[in-house]
Amino acid sequence: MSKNRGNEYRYQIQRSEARKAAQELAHSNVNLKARGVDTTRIRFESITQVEIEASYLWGEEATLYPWDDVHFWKQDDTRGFDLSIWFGQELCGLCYATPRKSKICIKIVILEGKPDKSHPLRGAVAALALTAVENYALLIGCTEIEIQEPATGAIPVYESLGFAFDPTDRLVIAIAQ
Amino acid sequence: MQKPKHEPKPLMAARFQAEARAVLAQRSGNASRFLDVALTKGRDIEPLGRLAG
Repeated sequence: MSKNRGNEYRYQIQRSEARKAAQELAHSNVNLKARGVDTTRIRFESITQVEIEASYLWGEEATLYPWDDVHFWKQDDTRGFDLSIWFGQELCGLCYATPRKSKICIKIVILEGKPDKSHPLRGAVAALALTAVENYALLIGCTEIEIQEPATGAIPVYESLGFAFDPTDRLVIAIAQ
Repeated sequence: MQKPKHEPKPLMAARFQAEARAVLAQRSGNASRFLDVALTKGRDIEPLGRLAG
């Protein structure tokens, strides 16, 4: 196997392990359980045609993100990180993050929660996604996460999670070991 | 010139997996920091739909 193929394979396994570890954390999280969430039904997966089709069920309130394009992004972006967050058979969130060519910073490029007030993971989509992204960032050696183009209404959420604007107006947080 | 060692794919997968798990196992209580904070804030603080991008 060539070095490049070996690296691609390494990133593929790192993505999988980052999702698995985040899922385990979600399953054991006492605060989620205290909300009455059956945490065993939370799943962290990649973004495949199954997730794309499930996102169509989000209806007209969904943002017209190019989730269909993630498949193509993944082909060109060896270190990209795609994530879907499920509760049972209900798709609750989608995320794509990438460090592109940076060795320091991974960027949340797009993040969307199900536009439905009643879904069981409402209020935790960003935190769940960031838990997995931080795992992956640690594995690939990044030291910070940036939220690229945060939704205005979501900025207080990110700030409450510890993000802050740096002098160049980037919304960032340092990776915690 | 030394010929590079060939590592079979299953062994390589097992090695990458073990390396990743070792890194993640070393994490302290910070691993759930986002969840711990978010879940003290209530469901309504997070907007529906678009969060970034």
